[in-house]
Amino acid sequence: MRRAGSISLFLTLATVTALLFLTNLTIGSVRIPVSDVASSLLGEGASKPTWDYIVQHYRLPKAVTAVLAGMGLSVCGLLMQTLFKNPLAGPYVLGISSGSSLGVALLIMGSGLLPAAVSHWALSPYGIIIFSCLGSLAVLAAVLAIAQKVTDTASILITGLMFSSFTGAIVGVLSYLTTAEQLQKFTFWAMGNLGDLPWASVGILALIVVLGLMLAFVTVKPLDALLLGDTYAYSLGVNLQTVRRLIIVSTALLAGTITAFAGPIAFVGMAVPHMAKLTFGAGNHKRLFLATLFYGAAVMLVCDMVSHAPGTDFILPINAVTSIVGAPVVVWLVLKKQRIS
Amino acid sequence: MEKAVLTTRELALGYKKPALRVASNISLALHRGKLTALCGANGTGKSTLLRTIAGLQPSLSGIIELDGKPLQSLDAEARARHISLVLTQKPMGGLTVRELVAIGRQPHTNWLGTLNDHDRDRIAHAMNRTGIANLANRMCRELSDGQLQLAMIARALAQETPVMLLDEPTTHLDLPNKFELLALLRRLAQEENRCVLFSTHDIERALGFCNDMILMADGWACQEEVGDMVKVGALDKLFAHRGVGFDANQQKFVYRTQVK
Repeated sequence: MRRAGSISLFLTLATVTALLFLTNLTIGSVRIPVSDVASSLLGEGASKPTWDYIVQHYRLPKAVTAVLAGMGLSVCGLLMQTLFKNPLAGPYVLGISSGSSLGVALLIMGSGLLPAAVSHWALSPYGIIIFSCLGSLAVLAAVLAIAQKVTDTASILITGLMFSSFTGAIVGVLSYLTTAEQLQKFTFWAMGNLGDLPWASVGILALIVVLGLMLAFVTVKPLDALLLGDTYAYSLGVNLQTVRRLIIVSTALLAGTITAFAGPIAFVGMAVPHMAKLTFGAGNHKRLFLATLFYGAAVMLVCDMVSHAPGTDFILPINAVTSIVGAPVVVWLVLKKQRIS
Repeated sequence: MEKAVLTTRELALGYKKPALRVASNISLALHRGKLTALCGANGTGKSTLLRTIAGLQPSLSGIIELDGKPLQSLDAEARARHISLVLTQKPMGGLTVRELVAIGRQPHTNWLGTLNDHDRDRIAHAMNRTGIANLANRMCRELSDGQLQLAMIARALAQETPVMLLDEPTTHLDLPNKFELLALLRRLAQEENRCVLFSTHDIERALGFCNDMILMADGWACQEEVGDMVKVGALDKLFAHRGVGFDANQQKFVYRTQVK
């Protein structure tokens, strides 16, 4: 890839992402003219105060959440694909998101057993983040431990699938034992929702996602070496232990926190890095990292717009939309595996 | 004679769990400008020796010194500036040849892996020396085994290390490629002033190209110049228990239990 070509590609990508962000703000179940969205954003106030409220306290935080979730999950996928040497790796496919679900399910449905004061604290956003991250960390560590023993692609994916079934089953048992109110709470969470986050929560999400992305960025150089395999990476001076830990901590932090706030979001983390690899080549993680950030944000914004089914009053769960788009991508990748892996 | 870059003294190779001593009392000296072949039957510990020298596994006892310093005292980056590796393992797809060779510069670049003019110059030089400059923009997965082997050698060359270790680089290559590869290794050792050590089962062919030879068998290893190795009859004894001897006149191995 020539340098100049790369730069113009990045500029195009950044422009498209910015345009998608603005377009995203104009779409929703309440029709608000573009000029009113613009004046509300510029602080001049829309023609109706309710429009102002919708744009500034619903659509803007939702679009920001979409950008953060898209970037974070996609970077997780990129890191895991190189770490596991597996083009189909991603936070959802490997069961990391299921781990988060299990953590949150234990928390929400188990909270009835706790004293009221404790359960009130536990069900706060902080409690959910902590349990979600612990859940994703536990599954990631388990999958990685297994990946050290079995190296072939299919086995690791099947392991991830088994973790998903396992956590799904435990969630099923829990939901049988729990109250209707707690079950409903969990079900809404599990459908995934980018909206409904107050600015304070978006702030926490942004802080942790930026931290996770910074940790992930430190690994771009060793990730290039890992493309050659662990032994070569070691011979190039890479400290494998440290790099593995950095990748695990950053992906658990990213996937765990994003899942805590927005629910499990399927396939984005796995599919987006491939879009970046197809346009920017797979051999330079510094370039891939930046491309993945933009693509991740853009894809998530589009999925959010689709979930609002323009022209209707429906809002589809975001997880359903990403699965409808993502599942065929997985099949396509399996068919093209020779070329991509 | 110039001081050796890499020396081992009374080195013992093997594994602690389960306890297995592969070879012991190995004393070697590898010099710049010399090509050394590492030969021996399967299972005699050639790979274990290479892995131990490369720092990939600890030795059971003994000393490995690089430029007079113990190998263990070097940190990962310093070690990567001294020893480069070429293995039989293939890289993950999606890399171009230039990107592959560029990864060899990692021990010399900053935390982001940014390449400067000197790095780019060394990368171009490595590709020119191995004759793969015309493949620079090709994908590694499109290369033949021979071309990929050259690209991996170019990567090791770009790493600019005094010591270069290769694990069976001629395996899977066709005959002309085997010869060309051996000639290339000889040139790299001499003209780039590297110390090149490679393991091989192609002993006969290696004879014509390398300066030194290390033989491994039954838990021991010895190092001699190639001419001396033939003279003292070490090659003749190497596979004698299996009925294979070495004919010094023909410079060939012969099967002596043949029905006459």
